[in-house]
Amino acid sequence: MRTLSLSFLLLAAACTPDFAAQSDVTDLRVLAVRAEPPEAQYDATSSPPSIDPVRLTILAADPRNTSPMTMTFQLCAPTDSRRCDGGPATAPVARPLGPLDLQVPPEALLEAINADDLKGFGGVRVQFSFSVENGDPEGPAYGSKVLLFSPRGGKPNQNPLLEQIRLTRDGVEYGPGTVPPAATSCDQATPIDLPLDVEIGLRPDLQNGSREQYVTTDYRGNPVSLTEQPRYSFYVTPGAEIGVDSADEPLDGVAPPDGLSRITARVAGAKGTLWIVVRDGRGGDSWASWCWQAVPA
Amino acid sequence: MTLALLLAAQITRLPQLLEAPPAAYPPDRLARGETADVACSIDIDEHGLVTQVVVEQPVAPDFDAAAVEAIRRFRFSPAEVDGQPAPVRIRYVYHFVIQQQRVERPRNPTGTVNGTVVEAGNRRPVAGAEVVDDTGAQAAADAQGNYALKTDAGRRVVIVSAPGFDGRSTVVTVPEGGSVEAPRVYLHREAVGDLQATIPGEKPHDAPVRRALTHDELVNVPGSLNDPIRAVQNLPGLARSPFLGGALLVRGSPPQDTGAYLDGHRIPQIYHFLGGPSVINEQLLDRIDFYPGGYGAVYGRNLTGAIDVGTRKGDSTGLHGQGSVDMIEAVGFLEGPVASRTQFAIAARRSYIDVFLPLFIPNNTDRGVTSIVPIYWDYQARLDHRLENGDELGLLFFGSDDKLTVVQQGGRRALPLSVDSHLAFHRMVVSWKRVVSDELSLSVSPALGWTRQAVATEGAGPGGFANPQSVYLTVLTGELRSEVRWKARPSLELRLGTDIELDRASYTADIQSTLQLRNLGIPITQRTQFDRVQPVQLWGEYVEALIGLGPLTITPGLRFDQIHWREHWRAAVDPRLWARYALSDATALKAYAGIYHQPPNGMQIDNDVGNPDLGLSWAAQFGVGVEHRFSDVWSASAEVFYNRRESLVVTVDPVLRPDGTVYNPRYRNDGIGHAYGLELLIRREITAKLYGWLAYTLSRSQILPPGDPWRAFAFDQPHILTIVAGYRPKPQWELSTRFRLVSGNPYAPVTAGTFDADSGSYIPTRGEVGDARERAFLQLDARAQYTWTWDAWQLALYLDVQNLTNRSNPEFHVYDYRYQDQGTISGLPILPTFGVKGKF
Repeated sequence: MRTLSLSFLLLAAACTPDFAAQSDVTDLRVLAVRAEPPEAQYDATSSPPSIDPVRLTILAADPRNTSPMTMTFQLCAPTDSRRCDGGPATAPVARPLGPLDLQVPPEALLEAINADDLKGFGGVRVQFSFSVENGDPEGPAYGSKVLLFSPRGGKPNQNPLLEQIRLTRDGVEYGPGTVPPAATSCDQATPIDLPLDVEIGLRPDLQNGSREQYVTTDYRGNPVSLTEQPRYSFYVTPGAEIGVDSADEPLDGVAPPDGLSRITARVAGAKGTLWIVVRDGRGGDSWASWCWQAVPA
Repeated sequence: MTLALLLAAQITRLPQLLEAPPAAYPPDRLARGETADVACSIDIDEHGLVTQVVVEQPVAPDFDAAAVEAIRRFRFSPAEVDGQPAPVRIRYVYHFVIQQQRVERPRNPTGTVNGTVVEAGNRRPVAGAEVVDDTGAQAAADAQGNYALKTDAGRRVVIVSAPGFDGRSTVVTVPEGGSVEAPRVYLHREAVGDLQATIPGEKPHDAPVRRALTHDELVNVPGSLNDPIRAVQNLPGLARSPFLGGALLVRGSPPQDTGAYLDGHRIPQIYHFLGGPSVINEQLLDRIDFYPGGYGAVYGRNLTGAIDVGTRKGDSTGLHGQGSVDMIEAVGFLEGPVASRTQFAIAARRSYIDVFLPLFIPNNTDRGVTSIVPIYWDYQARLDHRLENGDELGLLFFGSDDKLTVVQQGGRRALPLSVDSHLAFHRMVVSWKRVVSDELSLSVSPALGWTRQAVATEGAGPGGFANPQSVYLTVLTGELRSEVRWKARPSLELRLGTDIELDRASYTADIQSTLQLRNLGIPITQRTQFDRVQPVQLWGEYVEALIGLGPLTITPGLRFDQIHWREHWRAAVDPRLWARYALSDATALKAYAGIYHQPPNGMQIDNDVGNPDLGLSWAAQFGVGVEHRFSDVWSASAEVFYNRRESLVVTVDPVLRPDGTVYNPRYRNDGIGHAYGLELLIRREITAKLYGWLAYTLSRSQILPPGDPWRAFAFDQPHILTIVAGYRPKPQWELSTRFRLVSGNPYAPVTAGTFDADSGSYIPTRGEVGDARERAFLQLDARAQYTWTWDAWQLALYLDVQNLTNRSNPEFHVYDYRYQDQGTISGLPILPTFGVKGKF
């Protein structure tokens, strides 16, 4: 039966409607949320527990609409839907989109511990559920991030950081070879030239120390030492397309000659933004952006 | 309820017509040249004598009376049931044809004409064929089709005829005082409808209800791919499997809750994959016993149902065979005698669908070229010998092999993907049966088996799961089936038996497994390799009694199962009871109740990836029903059932112990399910030209996951209507059609999607499975077959069209990455297949 199910699923995959790719940013989208620190700490000995603040930054984009964005957020225990749609939650708070210095109330932390089958084992998880809107008639974009809190002490997780990307064409270094993230908006930054209809390989590089080793608990309840396996997600505005939406950092650190993904300009004269988000699988993430423009091949 | 689908309704020998004195042709009809066909049912006792003749389709009083009078004087060789002479009822058409002129017999025949009469196309003897010559000498063919006609010497015209066949004549020269060998006569069938026997009353064991479908009905139903076992899916109690799937979804339960058996021995699968045929050649089938529920103590370790396919011995009268080719596979079959008490039968099949499948697989530049290569084959070989003391020995080899390779080369937007899967099994079964007396019989059947299952993937999953992974499993099996049947008195029969299976499973895994107990969105995997041997012993013993109390028949049974793996023991006691009460010859009530246990599978009890402390799942089944026979061709049965399944194995989350440590059993016996409904079957049995049935199931199937409310089972189909009809205007033509109307599959509708920043993907907000349903499934299939018959062989050409109206039937819902766009995967479009079948 398993073989039969597998074969039917594969046939279904071959016959699936042609949906849009996740890497194509064509309307209001939330692409990432960064928590700094990604693993905050709290003092379990005090009552109520004292909790370190967390700065949250949301990466949202809408290439069609430059109107200011606003956000509304709530805190609750993690839910299956990733929205605070059942059980206790903080009152919704609305504000302009921008960095948010958040102080999680003690009662929200205690509620999250109470709702957890493992009672905070491996870190207390508080769900930050939000929506972003800019007047788009399709409505707001919804997102969530789990805020992780661990008792004071130990070695908390840090966000991975992107240093640069390496560009290749047909397996050979292309253009400047390595390009740091754009420091300013694309109106002022120097874009990457993308020859029309030519695949350019993308290989993100992390800053030293971004890939951490850590001790966690395995599925038998025993401690185990692991190394983070960062995953990259690629996004691009209209005019170009991404080859592979997401890719993992190779275990040996050596990427294929044509990069972990590819970007191809499809519309002559197009300009836009490329985002790469990196996630470490432990709640740590960050992103960087690059500007590009299509040029004749 | 039991659906016993019998190709030869437990009859081991059909009655053969030995003497057929001609009827007195009504004189005025003869003078006017009028002919007639009088269809009758005939009761034949265990001595081969006719005890009752009933005209089913009256023609005219004089023809009817003449036919009845003649048939009363017929003499048959007795039919046999389970090797013993037994009364039967047959359907017979008496043809009044003006072909012969009766003249006075010669007084002093001086020569003999010897000959043989066989049926054209299959060379089987036509017992009882009439032989006359131009002098009026008469003779009749015996059970082997041989005749000896004593007549005058000289040139003789010999005419051979038989009811239902066209006549043939031949010219011979009879020497004075000697004999001559006439050429073999091949009679062509001119009327549809073989002798088909049914046993009056009910099958004396296993279940209170028996339904019989003939081989032709089973093979020629559209969409059955010439496979009687696929035709089972057109009966009540089975949910529709998606696409062409052959999964047995019995009374709202998953396929693994129904056991598949061959000659009483369990087999890993009954159908080849990708909607392929069953693993047994249809020519080798003797019976199909399908139990959607309420099966007896003979079978065990299945929560819901069982299907047991029985093979038959080779033909002892002569060498016969069949071969067929179509767009999907080639099949061959051969049977015949080896010695006077020994016969064989062999069959083999090989698919070549991989040649045509690429024509139907769309290529997508975003995903790259997709290649799907399925290959399957199977074989069976059977040898039977009857010892001088009457004991029966049998040796059966059979096996099946399914390989599937899927390769997606990757494109602009997808990484390469490859999946290789392989399932093969081989079995050797020995059987010995001794009939000690009319009251006592013994049977023993040991078996050895080898099963291999392998899966290797690359790119089949996100993150680390895209790395190469493989699992190889090999199982050595030893089985023993044995049974003693004792008829203690006319109203009491006892069965005691064993059902033992000893497995040694060895598996090698090289997989990516998540190591962390908890993660945030992206599981980190690590390569895990292990080799393991897991022995499992399954011991089963049963006792069952058949008690006849006049119109009431009660069958209580008790089954004991002991299951052992490593240091774990599990035991089960399953009481079962059914009863049948005959209100009249035509109407009977039936009821059953029973407990059924099922052990977890190997992965679920593995020390590392499972929970070896799992217990047995169990089910309680109840049913009541009625059956009524309106006439000898029309019958109906209805049944309501309820199944309650508990201690189902479900995946569970880890929990924190009071001492602060983590308990992660992965699986627990916390699942509950139930199913209830009504099953209705109205049937017109095959007669001269027409057959068909209507099957309707009204049911619900739900499961109760831990901590969640009741929800529909994935294949909960409240309404399932199937209508099958077959028509044979002439013996050469067979036309059949199938209509199905089935509730759409339930699904959990998605109302919204939320971006999960930790994983980078979207999480759907769903309702429960069953809050929405796909559009109802509606499909019309048709089949046409034409058969040419020559003396020694036949050739049939058939065209089978599935989904004749090319209706798009949605099977599954699919969504885009953020659950804003949606679409459906539809079932197969119009699908014609044609094939050629030859037999001799």
